[in-house]
Amino acid sequence: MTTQDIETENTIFKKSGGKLLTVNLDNKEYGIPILQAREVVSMQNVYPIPRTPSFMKGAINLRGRIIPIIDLRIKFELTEQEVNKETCIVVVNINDNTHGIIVDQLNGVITIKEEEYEDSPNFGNNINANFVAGIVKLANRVIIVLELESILDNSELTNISELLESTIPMTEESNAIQTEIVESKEGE
Amino acid sequence: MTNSFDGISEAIAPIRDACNTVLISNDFTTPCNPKLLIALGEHFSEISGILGKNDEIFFQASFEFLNAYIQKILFQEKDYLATMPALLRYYDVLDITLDCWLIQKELNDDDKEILSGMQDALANQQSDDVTDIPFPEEGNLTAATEKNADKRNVEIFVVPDNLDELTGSFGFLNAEILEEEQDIIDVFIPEALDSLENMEQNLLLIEEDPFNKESINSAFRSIHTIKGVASFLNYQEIILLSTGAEMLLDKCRNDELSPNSQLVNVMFDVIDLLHTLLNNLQLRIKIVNKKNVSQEIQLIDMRTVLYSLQLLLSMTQSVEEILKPVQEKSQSIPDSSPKIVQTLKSESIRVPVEKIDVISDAVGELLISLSLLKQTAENKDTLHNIDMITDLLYANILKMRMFPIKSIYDKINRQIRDLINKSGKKVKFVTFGAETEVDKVILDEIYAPLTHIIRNSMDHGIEDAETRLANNKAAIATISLSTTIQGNNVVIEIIDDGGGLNKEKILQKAHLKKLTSKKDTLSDQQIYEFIFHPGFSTAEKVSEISGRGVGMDVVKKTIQSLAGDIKLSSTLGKGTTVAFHLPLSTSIIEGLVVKVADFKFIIPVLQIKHTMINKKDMLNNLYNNKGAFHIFQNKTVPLIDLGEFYSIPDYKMQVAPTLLLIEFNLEIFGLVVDEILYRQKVVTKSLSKEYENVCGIKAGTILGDGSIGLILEPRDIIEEHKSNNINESINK
Repeated sequence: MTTQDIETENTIFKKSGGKLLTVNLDNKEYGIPILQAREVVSMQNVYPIPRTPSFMKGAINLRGRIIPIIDLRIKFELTEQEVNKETCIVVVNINDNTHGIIVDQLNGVITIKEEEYEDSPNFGNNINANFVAGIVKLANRVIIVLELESILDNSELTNISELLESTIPMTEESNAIQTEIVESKEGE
Repeated sequence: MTNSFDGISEAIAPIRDACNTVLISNDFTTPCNPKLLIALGEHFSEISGILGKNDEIFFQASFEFLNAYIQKILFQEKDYLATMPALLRYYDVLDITLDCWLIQKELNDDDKEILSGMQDALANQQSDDVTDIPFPEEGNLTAATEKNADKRNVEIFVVPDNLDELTGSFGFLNAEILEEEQDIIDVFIPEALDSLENMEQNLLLIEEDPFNKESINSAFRSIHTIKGVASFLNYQEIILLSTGAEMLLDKCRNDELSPNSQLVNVMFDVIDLLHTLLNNLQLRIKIVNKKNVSQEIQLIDMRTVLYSLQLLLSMTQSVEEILKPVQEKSQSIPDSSPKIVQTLKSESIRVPVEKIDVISDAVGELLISLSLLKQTAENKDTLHNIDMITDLLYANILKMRMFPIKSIYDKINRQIRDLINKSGKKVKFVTFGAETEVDKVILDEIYAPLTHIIRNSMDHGIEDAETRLANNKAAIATISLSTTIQGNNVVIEIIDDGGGLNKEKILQKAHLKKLTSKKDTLSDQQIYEFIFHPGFSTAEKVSEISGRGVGMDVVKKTIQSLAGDIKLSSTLGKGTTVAFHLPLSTSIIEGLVVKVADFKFIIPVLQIKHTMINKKDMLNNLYNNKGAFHIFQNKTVPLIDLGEFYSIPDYKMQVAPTLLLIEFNLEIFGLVVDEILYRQKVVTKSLSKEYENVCGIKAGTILGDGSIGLILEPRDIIEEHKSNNINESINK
């Protein structure tokens, strides 16, 4: 059990008394720790922002604030689904920043007991299960509790930002180095 | 006012009564009764608390001190029998003053001074006995002023033996900040900084006219305020410095010393040191775990400054003798109202910038919601009213972030003085437009670039007096600094009448550095542009003031980061003008809203040189639609297609697109967009961390229809475009 797991568990049970906001995505039920959820808004126009990972769908205008939107369907490699009247955006806090997450349907808030919760087991190397904090087993339903922090800092995103960094405007210094390289090649 | 006085009076009356009962009914000359002491200490602490809540810092501190002292006696750090009488006398005096204050509602300055003098003494001597404190006669406070002042003069300022120990640790910078101290410190730092600024300005006036009593008094009051609070917080280093400075100024006040240049210099050193200390303290509070970096330098500085203070204070008499005749002379001249820097007593409050940000954001949202409403509403008349009110709100919120540039001028004035001393050149410094209001962000950033330019002028621009005379110029050079508002821009100009930029030299250097080849014919502007290249300096020798070639590129970066621009003009032998063109407000950008596929981008108007709308046959390309360019005024302008640059899906360049021509390092580039929608002032909104790294996107904004527009930084786009080309050529 890593410290992160302990923290998540502590937050879920100690601070919020085991309350989760649950949502549906592709007929599965996911839980978001209630303290991280700020509000739920209906689906609205998402303005794309270029050169960002595909699951970063863009941004919405939330009462004058620009909030980045994560599309979990893209993130979880699901087929895209037409927006219907159940589709909504859950506004959450991730690492002190506000983000919106598009989900198929909002279920509600449930309170879970500690014995119903289990930390995420090891799913093996082939499956990226970082964003799963744990699993809740109830009589007739299973809820996958999300660890939102990991959704953002996963390999796809870092790869892209690395890619961006390598092409980001060069300082004049590095420009000079580049020119030197060109010159030395010419010298050869 | 009356209410608050009555309130305080009522609140503390029962406690004071209880206090007096304890004091009257007990004999404190007999051996210690801890219970009584504890009760007394509690009473003091209660009074202190109530006064503290009402911002009566002085009384609060005094009672708090009494309480602390009682604790010391209780823990047997202090001798009970020896110190108690003095402590009780101090309380008596304090009690009387408190009465006066409550009845008269305003204590006169003299009384305040005695009290704070007493308190300083108390705080300074915490390690000694209370019995050493000089007490004025009870009930005759005013008369005691002189006595008290005399006593202070007799004190000798000595650099303590344990200076290393004391300053080496900079204990207060590392010490844990107690919760109850936090509030005081929060108030203390900005107040102390204000006081320092005030003192600095007064010192400049004193330097001009050493007999300007008003300024000396004002400076004295400033340093005294700092000392008072520092004593309370027990910041040894600040106390030491301010005590020394205060004593010096006190001597000046009493005509025992004349403020000669040496003295003023030392005072400036003290101010600088205090500045550094305060800044460190501030950093320490903000970043809890950060160790201060500049300790080493400070330690040396601190010692020199303290010793010079000691030296100056010890030479009182001789100076007095020498100056007597001069003094008499100056007194015989009728005093035409002495100049004094007015301490602003206008009704103002300190508000954290974040709070203003929240309000301006909210008003911005209001504007947007309103424009949405306007499109659908039926009753336009009511809306019109709301519209007007919102506009008024908005305009005033913007003004809240604007401050006169005067504060920067004052700081630069000081800088120039130091530079003149160092370089020995004779320079007159004139300023215009000190009252011009500028965005706070710009104020915070502009000082460093301005001083840099001025330092360059002083060092490289201004010739020495002989050369000037030989060239038929006035021996005294002039540097002028002016701030004006031109349209939506603030223009800050630094003009000197020095030697001007030497184009030949710059070109030579540029060739040497292989920045340009000899074949190129360059315009004046293009030649001047080399100055902004990192590591570029034509100075023949590196002087103390400047000439290391570091900086002009930083100046340019800073100005660009404020969305501004630098313009240089110069005539050899006549002088140089450097002009900063900055937007009036950094939170609002005047931009062209353009469309590329479904995207809306905003390009700052300041950066657009020219627009070419929907022209069909203006596009050329090198081969196979690659390397698009356009011929503009006989120059080849490379084009950057924004749709392609941002890999916008399903994008195809229009047959007749619109071009925005942008100047970058004196080259012109064209941005290709579908069309220009409109021109608008937009409020910048930060995008989240995930989008910050996207090249060329500086911020976002909400447009009138509620949609999100992306504010671009064309320079970044051009830079990346250029570096991509270099990468490609390397790959090949």
